[in-house]
Amino acid sequence: MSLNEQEVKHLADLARLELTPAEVKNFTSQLGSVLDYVAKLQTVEGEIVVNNKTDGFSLRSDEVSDWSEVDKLISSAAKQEKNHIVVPEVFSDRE
Amino acid sequence: MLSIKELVNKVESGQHKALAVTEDCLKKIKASHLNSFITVTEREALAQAKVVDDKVARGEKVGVLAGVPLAIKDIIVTKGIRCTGGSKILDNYVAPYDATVVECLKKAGAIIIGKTNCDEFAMGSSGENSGFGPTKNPWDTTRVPGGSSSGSASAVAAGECLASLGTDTGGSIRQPAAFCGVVGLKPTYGRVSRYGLMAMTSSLDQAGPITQTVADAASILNVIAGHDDREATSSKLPVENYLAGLTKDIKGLKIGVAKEFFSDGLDKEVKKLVETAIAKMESLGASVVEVSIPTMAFALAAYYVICPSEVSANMARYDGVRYGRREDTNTLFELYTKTRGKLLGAEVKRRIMLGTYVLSAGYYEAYYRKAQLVRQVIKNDFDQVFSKVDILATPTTPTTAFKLNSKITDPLSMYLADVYTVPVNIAGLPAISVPCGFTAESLPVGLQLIGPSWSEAKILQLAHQYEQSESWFERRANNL
Repeated sequence: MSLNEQEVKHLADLARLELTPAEVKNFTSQLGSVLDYVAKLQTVEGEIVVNNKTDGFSLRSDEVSDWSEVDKLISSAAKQEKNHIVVPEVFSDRE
Repeated sequence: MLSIKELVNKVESGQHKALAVTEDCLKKIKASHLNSFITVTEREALAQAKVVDDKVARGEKVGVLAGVPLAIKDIIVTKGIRCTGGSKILDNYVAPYDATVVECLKKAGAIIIGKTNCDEFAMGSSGENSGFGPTKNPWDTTRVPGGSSSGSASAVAAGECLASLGTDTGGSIRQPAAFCGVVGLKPTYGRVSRYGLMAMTSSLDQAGPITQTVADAASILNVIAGHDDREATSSKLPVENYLAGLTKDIKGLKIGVAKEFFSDGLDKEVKKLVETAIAKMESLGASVVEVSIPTMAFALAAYYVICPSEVSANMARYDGVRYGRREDTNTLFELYTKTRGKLLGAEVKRRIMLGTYVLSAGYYEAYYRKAQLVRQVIKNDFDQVFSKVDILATPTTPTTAFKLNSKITDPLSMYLADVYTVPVNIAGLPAISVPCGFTAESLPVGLQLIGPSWSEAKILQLAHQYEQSESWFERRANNL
């Protein structure tokens, strides 16, 4: 097995996922199997060739434009107040 | 059911009313037990149908898909309609805009009949990862329709709509098309705009049609293909008329058969039907050349590093803040962890964590960079093969549709089901799955045709010629 439960808990933390103990157990063995399978990639030799071509790609100009339906965006949020989205405190350890 | 061309002709001439066609589909959907749809857009569809009929009555020109009842995979946003992505976390999300592909279809007069069920955020190969229950296969309701475009394929196979849009990142159009006995086309990466597709693996995702026939797929591709200013990876290459070359014969076409697609794990009946189909194409004038793609063995491994990596980034936006559901919490940190923990499904969580792992310092070189190298090598291998042959013919899947619940506890066995479709996405190539027969258990089998980049016209031509030489497309599913 390539992973242990501590590592899985750490990954869940990094990915902002709260897992149940059963999930930690199952995911540890399932992810371990997948990592064992993809390990075969290590046997492929070579160097990546970097492609710097930009033909066919176009980026729009970096200009701000107003969108008329902002209220539709804000109204999608679970909690709103005065045209803002409400969330719990960002800085939770202020004096 | 009529073909798209026939239906549009009848609607244009006033022979059929778009309203009647739409009502017919809505009736079928209401009576169905397949769970193909998450949201049925009855009101909007009837209104769209009325607009088409009114235009016809006034003698005005209508679009090339006028009156065609179409279903859209729920991972593609539709304005003013609930769009869930197959996930509980977006179960109440109403999109404020249409995806480009939806805009194109609406402009062409298509009737959007509903949003189809799919594996959550397009992650899955069976439809069983949906937050809204699995979809059933219309040929055998104890079996999966395939995934992740599960509802899109089952709806077309069951006649609940005339065509649908799916998305394909590792086979999610082609595999369910094969399992459901319909046609599924994944265009070249960049051929169809991804604007409005909830991103799963941004460097692999591509939208495409699922239809009853190859000509219908060509009709839809004509409408959805093309450059989009809003989508940086969409190609500026001009769009051909994909219907124009369908009836050309295939004399002299070189079809490649790669042994790596016919190895262990391929079901005997599937192998026989695909080999028979290849022999049929030979009898129509094509020649068969044996080729090899040795690095194909690494494609699935590369995919299951690249896909989770991009997923881990793309899923970060589902945090309960701006849209979708959120859990009631005291701290911001818990808002993220509890919302995502409770409302994202197991497969999504697995891929997020896998991606987090392979992108982390210490593992990035060994996994992610290696996968990117393999991606280049595989692309080069395919390019080499296409210097010798025009099109590759392969089975779409190693087996027919498997039973519900048979692979859900073993993610790796589910991943291995995509072994023939994934290499195509890794190389960015176009491919189509077309029905090539039924097994002794009356389960459909798909033939996959893969072409070099931008060769949609050629693969559609070959697929159409093969399709019309047999009558698989006339057989209809019975279990609704």
